[in-house]
Amino acid sequence: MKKTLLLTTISLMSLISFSQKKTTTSAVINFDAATPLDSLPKAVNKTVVAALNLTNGEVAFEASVKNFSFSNPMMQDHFNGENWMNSEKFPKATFKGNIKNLDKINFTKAGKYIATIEGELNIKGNVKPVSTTAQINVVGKSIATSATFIISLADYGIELPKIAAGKVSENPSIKVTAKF
Amino acid sequence: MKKKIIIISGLLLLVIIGITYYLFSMKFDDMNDVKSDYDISAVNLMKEFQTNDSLANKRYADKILTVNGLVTDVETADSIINIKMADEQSGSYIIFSFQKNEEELLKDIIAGDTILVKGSCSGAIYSDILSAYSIAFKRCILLNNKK
Repeated sequence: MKKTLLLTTISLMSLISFSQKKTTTSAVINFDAATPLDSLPKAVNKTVVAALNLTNGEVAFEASVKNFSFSNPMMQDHFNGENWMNSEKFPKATFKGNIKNLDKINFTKAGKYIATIEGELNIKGNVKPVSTTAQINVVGKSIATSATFIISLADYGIELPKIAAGKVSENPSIKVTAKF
Repeated sequence: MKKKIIIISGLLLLVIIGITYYLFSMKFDDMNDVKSDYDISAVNLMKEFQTNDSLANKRYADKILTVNGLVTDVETADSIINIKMADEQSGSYIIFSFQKNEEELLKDIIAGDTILVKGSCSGAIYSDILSAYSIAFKRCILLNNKK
């Protein structure tokens, strides 16, 4: 009897602590390096792994670089190539960070919240601090989140060839949306 | 002589503009018109990645695969519908994202269905968040939805 009680308590506790970390394997990243000269350098990755810890405010995502889908095959090749993302050597891009104003967000109460996010983005083996704000929309049990990072390609060791000058933005945006 | 040079330069310029225009206006073929490189079951594909992921990545990344398997999850977010075939034991999974206009067919798929999917394999990454392999596909189409 005692054993059963103990086991039940342990499994309940693990269930509770587990439920505080939400994950999804269908978060979306929209990559946009378009400029007024060229609207093509855009891609979407619909299979991003993302995590949100409701208790301590930790947020994270991992994207398979090869799963960014461009409409143009040549652009996709360049994106994965050595000069750009070098996806053979660096197959994933990751972010790890925290919600800085966790006390202002109530994940159990329906509403729209603005979260301040700080963390580190790891692209092509280069880790850089980044910060942004995220929109959080709580509806019932579902939590929809969206955040945009503006990055500098040079920070991550990506140099644009002269021929691409003006056609590919040197400060592309990375919009992450995840529903937990 | 001068006239000749001008004509040749003009022609060259036209060719360069033509090639550039062609490269920039290229689009991926509809997956319905692409031949698949490999036909494999979801279970075997996951096994290959779990046994030797670098070998499996070399073999399957950037290739067109037709995969048959049991749907374990249908994940929706806004207008996106992804289909997942997971190995419950290891937590590793295959996830298919689809090309445009597949939503109509996908909306009837539920966990437990056995389906056939064709798409471009992006290989696997090891997810530290999930402690499992994630094998991702893009531009997929559903080949059948027979239950």
